[in-house]
Amino acid sequence: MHSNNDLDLAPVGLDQFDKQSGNALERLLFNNRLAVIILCVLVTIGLGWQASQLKLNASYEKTIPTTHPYIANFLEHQEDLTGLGNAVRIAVASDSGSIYDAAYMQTLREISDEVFLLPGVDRAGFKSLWTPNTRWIGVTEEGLEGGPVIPDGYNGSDASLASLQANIARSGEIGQLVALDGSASAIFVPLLSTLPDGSALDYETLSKQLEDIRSRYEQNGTTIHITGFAKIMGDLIDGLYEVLTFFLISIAIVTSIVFLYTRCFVSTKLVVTSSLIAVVWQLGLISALGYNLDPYSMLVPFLVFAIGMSHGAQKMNGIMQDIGRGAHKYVAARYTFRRLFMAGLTALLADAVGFAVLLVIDIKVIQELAIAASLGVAVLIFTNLILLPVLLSFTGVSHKAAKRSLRAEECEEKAALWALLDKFTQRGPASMAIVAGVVVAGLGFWGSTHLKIGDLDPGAPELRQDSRYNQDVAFMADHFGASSDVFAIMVETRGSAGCANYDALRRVDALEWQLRQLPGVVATNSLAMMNRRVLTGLNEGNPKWFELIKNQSMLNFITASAPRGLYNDACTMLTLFVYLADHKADTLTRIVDHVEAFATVNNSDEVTFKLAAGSAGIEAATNIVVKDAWRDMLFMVYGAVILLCFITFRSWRAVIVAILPLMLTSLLAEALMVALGMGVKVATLPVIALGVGIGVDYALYILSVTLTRMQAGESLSDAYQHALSFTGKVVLMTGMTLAAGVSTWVFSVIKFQADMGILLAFMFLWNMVGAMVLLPALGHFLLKSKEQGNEQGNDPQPANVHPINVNKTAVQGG
Amino acid sequence: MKNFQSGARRASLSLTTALTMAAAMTVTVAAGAKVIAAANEAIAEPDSLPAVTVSHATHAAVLDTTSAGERLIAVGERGVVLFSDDQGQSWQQAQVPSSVTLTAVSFADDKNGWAVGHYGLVLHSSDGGESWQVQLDGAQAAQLILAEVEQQTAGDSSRKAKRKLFSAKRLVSDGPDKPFLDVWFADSQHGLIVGAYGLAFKTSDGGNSWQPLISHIENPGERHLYSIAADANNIYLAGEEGLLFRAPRTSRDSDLAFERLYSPYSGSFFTISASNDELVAAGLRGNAFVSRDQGDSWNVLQLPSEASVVDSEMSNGGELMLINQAGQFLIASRNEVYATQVGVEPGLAPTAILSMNDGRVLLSGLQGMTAVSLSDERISSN
Repeated sequence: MHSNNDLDLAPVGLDQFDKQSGNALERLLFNNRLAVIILCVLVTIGLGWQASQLKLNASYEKTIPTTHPYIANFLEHQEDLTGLGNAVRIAVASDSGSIYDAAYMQTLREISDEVFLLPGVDRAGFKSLWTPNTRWIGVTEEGLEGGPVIPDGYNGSDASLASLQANIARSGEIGQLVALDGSASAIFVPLLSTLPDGSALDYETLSKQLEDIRSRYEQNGTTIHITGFAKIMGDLIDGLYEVLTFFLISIAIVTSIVFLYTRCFVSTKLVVTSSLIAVVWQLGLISALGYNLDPYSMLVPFLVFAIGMSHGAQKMNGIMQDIGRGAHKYVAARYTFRRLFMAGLTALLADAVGFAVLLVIDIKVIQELAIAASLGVAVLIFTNLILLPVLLSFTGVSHKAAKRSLRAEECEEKAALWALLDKFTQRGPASMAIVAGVVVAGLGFWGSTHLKIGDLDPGAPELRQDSRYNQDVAFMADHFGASSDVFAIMVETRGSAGCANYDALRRVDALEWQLRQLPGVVATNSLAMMNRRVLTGLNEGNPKWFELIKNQSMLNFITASAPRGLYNDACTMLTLFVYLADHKADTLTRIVDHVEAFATVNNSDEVTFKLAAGSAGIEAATNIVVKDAWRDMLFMVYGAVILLCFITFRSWRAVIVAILPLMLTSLLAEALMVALGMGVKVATLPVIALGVGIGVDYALYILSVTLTRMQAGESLSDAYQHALSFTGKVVLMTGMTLAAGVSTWVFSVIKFQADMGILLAFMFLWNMVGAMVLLPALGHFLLKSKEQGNEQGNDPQPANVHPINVNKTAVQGG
Repeated sequence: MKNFQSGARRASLSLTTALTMAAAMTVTVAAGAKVIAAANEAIAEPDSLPAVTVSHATHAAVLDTTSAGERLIAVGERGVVLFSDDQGQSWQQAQVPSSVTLTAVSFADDKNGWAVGHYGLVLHSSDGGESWQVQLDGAQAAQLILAEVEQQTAGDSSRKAKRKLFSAKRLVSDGPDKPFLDVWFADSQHGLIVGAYGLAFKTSDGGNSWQPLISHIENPGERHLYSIAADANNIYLAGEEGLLFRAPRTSRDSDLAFERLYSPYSGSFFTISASNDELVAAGLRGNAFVSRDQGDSWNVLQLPSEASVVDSEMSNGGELMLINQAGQFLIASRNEVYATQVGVEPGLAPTAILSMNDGRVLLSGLQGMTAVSLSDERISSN
């Protein structure tokens, strides 16, 4: 391979071509072309069947760092945390502004009855104004009295509505089942995790059934708001189907870009096909490995397709130029394979390094993303570096297009663009570009210092802030004072009195009070708080008894009658629930720090405070992991890429020229995240690594050609011109196809996918600009043509550096 | 108390349900508030721990309010005592050596005040409520009762005496788990406290020493005593199971002889208020009764709600204001035998009301405090 000098590859016809030329791999593949194709067809059929078995899923547990101590605590106690149970809340708002309205109550009754019968509903805990377990309680001289809030003989008359209103007032349901302003009431729908027949709850079906109920009853003078984990999952899965249509749009956009570039229908079709084959293989492989397609790994088929298109386009470009110069299609394919296989392989390996680094992050979705992406890249080596040239050797390209490709090199616009870019090899523009780069980097750095960890918007972070779901969450917060951000602290108790122990309870009580004083804490609940409430209740509701009294037998008695969820069945663990105003990292850190400090001095033989459960508690742990991973990952990905560049170029100067533009892109991406209000989170974490991994491709393509030409004695300007006219235009197309491939994501209903789409599109495009503008500018100051070449002397040429026969002589010879 | 307008009487004739709320009073604790209770302190038992620091007055449960001259004083959970010199617009937190929940507060003048609470705690302030000292705790209170019972039963081997002694000893062994529920001081020396299970003490020396009153109050069931009221002639107590007591005021309010009154009700009274010619007791399930003969006979005061009444306030003009647990303000006046609802403040879990000098009412609850303006509504509704 090393001995091949591209300049020797004269375009020849088939009869003049020596089939035993080229290296062993080339001979193996191209002398057995039919076998290669048959093998690929068989593999495609097999993996295609596997891919058809692939399931769409949105697993919550995979998005959390399961080995972090907080999460380990949570997983250890998961069975005991019934208070965090899986439930859906349906708020039915009356368009008339009041629920004390006969028509409203009738509609509510119908909805309640219908939801009650849905499969997966835990009917024992189901609650609405119409269920008999919604009761008012009054204290009487003899004890307690009570009844269902719907009065006996309710008939919708004004009298029975007034009676209903009075019952609700003393039911304690205002703020729970009934909105604070009386304009809506809620249906509380606890869910079973497994259905009676043993199958798992199907979120997708449940979500569809709820949507059906919503659409039917919203015509009856009500507005329906639905929240709950099951609904988020349903909406996410819906979002995944939607993203599938984005994939089609991506294919269309990318195909048009390639077609516009080549104007050759046959070869465009082949490039698209081989890229799609890569996607099929990749999906088939992850299915065979037992993974599902989730909203995160959904990214991979887009990337694989886009990367495949860019590499495919290069192959096609090479073949086209050779055919344009008169070579036979078979010869052209082999020449192109010879010239570009190693370059493509190196570039794909660089991508793989970027993806593989993600494996160190201890979050399952990211690791699966890394595996899926690595597989996808590996698959591209077979489909787009091997199969595609073999296929092209059969079909060739249209001669018109081939001729056109050569003409295009001399066309004016392109020449003008190349001339413009070439200016950056001169001192003046180079200095300007570098000064501008430094200024932008400074701004970027200043911006990136404001980068926040975690999700910043209210509502479910998975979905867009203006999504129906998050509007429903906002409605719940406004009308029921319900916070969706729950931070749960697990309190392990030991000793005879267990969770009712006074000593444990007063510590919980103290912590609960302290947390309630912190900014961002809306409310709290615990067995300690329940003790205060129940003691008040036992004393006829007199609020002067709002105290945690030091009387163990009373505490035991109250605990026995307290609702489940505040402590576990064995009474060895209490849960302290903290309801937050938001899940911003600052709020979470404040809680975590406070509880940690409290635990340090208050943990004892009898009581241990453990973090963390609840949506906000898990997010706090995730934030901690993500924050550590962010810098680690940047160091590792840059370390790997620097090493790779050094191995390739054997010159630290070249490494600096290649890496600095990438670093600028990373900085600016962070600043962009600040500007767009995105935090560092599970979804944005992989993006920088992917961006760097793919961005280094550009540098490799352009710099390798430039360096080779400079070693051959050309000036930087001439060498760069050559690089542009051969690999430069492919880099341009690559940047655009990659950006186009992911930009459709911006429209995804799944917020983190949209965030990933924006960031990736930005990084792909800006890396392209960096490679074409900053690279020559840095080269002007760092790369010295002759000396560099002489220094290296007899060193073997870097494997992937292949000067190309794009000089005038070769063209004319064709 | 002083601000009941005659308009109240007219308004009571119309079934007004609306309420003009003052724009939510900004109840912030002034600069005095330090950092939130430090997380890095181990939590001791509440009676040996200073009051928690409250970050925002609306974040603490307030159980009772009173005025000391121009100053407003509020007491509540975890030893929190707040005071305001600007009609409740801003609050400062007092220095309190205990984090026990305080249930009641009373000031004899603008300097001397007492607060009582759980764990049998009695606190005294001599600086208008800015700093407080412990005068009595539950363990001491139990010992005082035991000492008195031992003295009374010395040499008496009757079953009744034995039972009294057993009960007093158990009070000691139970530990300080019983709350005082109300406090009233006639002047800076003479005062009275009552509490759970019939606890009652008096002092004649500003709280330096306390004398058990249990044997002077006929309460064999050891029912809770919830509320104290006084007019010019008598002191009244009200409690569980319709308990009502009256003692004539002596020149020094020291020799109190409580007589059990006929009760019109068998349920609990949570509050009792007195003016010079009228007495009202109210409590469970919206039961309220008025007496014009110092408690000898009672008339039913019809309330429009069955929610329990938790606090009452009566002016010498005879206007009565009640607050119930549904957050309804109920107004009655001398000539009415029913009360009418003038406003509702939902979601506060009301505990106490206090008329302020600006005509508004300070409404306290488990969710903090808010100032409510009832007067506009009453005037406009006639």
